[in-house]
Amino acid sequence: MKAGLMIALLLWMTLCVELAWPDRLPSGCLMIPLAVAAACWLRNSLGVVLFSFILLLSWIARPVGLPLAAIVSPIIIAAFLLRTGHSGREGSRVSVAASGLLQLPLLVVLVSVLHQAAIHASGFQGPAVSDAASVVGHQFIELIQALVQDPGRFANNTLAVLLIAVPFSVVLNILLVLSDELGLRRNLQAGRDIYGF
Amino acid sequence: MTASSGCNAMRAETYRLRMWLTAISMSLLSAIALVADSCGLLSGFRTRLHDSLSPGRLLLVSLGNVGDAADGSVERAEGQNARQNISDETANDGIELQYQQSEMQRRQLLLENARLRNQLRQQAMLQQVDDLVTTNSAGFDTGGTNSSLHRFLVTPARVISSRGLADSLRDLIVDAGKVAGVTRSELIVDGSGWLLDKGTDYQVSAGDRVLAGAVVVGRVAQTARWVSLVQPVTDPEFSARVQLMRTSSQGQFFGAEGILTGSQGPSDSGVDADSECEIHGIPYTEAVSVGDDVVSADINGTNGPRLYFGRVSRAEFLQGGQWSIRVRPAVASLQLDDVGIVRLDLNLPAPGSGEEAKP
Repeated sequence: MKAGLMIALLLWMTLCVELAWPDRLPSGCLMIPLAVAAACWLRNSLGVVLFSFILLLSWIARPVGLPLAAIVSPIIIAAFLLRTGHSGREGSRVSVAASGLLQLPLLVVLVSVLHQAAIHASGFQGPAVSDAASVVGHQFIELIQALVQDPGRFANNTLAVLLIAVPFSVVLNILLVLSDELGLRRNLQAGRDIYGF
Repeated sequence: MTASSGCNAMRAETYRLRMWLTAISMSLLSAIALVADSCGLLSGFRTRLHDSLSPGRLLLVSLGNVGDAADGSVERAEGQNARQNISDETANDGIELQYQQSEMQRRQLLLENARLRNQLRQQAMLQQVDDLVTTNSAGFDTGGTNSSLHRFLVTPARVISSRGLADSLRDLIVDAGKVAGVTRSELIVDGSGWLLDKGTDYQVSAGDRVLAGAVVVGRVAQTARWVSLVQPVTDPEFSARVQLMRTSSQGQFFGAEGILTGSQGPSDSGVDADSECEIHGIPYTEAVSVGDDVVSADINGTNGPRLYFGRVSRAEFLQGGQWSIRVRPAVASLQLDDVGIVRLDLNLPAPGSGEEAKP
């Protein structure tokens, strides 16, 4: 619970940082790696709740496009956490460590792409609709149309985010692996007890 | 041993189930938030969220400013080289800025011309009255001072969140709230120009930089301690008294007055339906034409500086004997970063200044 509170505070501060300099920091470049790392650190439902909640709060604070990352990412994170719990048993120690070092950046890339796709679609001007349900459905269509019609701008914006997010996530991942090796992660130990590895 | 492994399997199953339930619940919550936002139910929560984030954000911004000041000496040393590089990159921005400034100047000149023409007309009328009526006005004390009971202040604010591009502007959150004295229904203007309630009557001479006619962005809808929510001019619930300003061969004239309201519904033309306003209450006997400028008639019922709303994009007769007028708001073409909040303030004389009313 203490770890959860500390992580919630950290995520809150990250949201403050991103809102303090919106013109210097692309949206989600710090928050997404930290939220993914928080979920990987806790490895329980609280981690998934914190991860989803900060993405949702970020979208409410800056409601650009659809909250695609907040809708889809919790399921991805849950699937990832459950899968890594099982797959960790197999392979040599080196290969497990190597795959572990890649997991967090890959997740960050995936969530960042979802986040940027929604932002990219918001700049696309479609026909006006008035009904709330139509608006939501229409935004999904706009999302696909925008990605097809202007992929260059989407790639540039995503690259701008990833240039900060990926190195940051690599550093966080190294910290996670180190803390695991040094026995600082009690939750992982609990997971090992559960899965028997 | 078997009991232990069975217990572990059950715990693993519970863990897995809990994870999936949490993930699906959070996804559903996000989807519900999306629908709620589409219905406009999240505006109040968004204001409170920004308000709660503001102390940390303001602290970081202030720390950043301190850091910028410390780095200033180093930056000045490298300034020459940097300026050379930046000048190439900002050439295009400069052209855009020049265009915006010239457009702003044009609006100011239009307003000033119309005001002077009105003044001239009033002077002529007064002259006629003076010729007809011979009244000794020595007993009337007009005061001889230029002081007004009220004045308009502009509180600068930064836009910290918007719904996206200006064309699809729905909500806007600015970083000025109750702490800055902002209250509901105050007008928001584009922050690229300043607003003054002084003209030639106040010894402002030619050549002085007097800016007026700032573009109206919207109105404060909600205020929190640190932030305020802005209702843009295109919101259907927005309304303001406006006056048309016509450009004829003889110059600019103030025309008919009406009520401007937002209109986000689909229009018949289907072009830029999201960013149009309507003017109601102008009878068919008044002259209206496409291209007329729309300026404020008053600010919350008080006479004040003229603010610019936009330009008439369509004008048609209605069967009820009124005009159906559509306005393209000027804010739709602006990139909003800094804005100003226009506040009415009482201009009371300070105690002991000798300006108190005498019995």
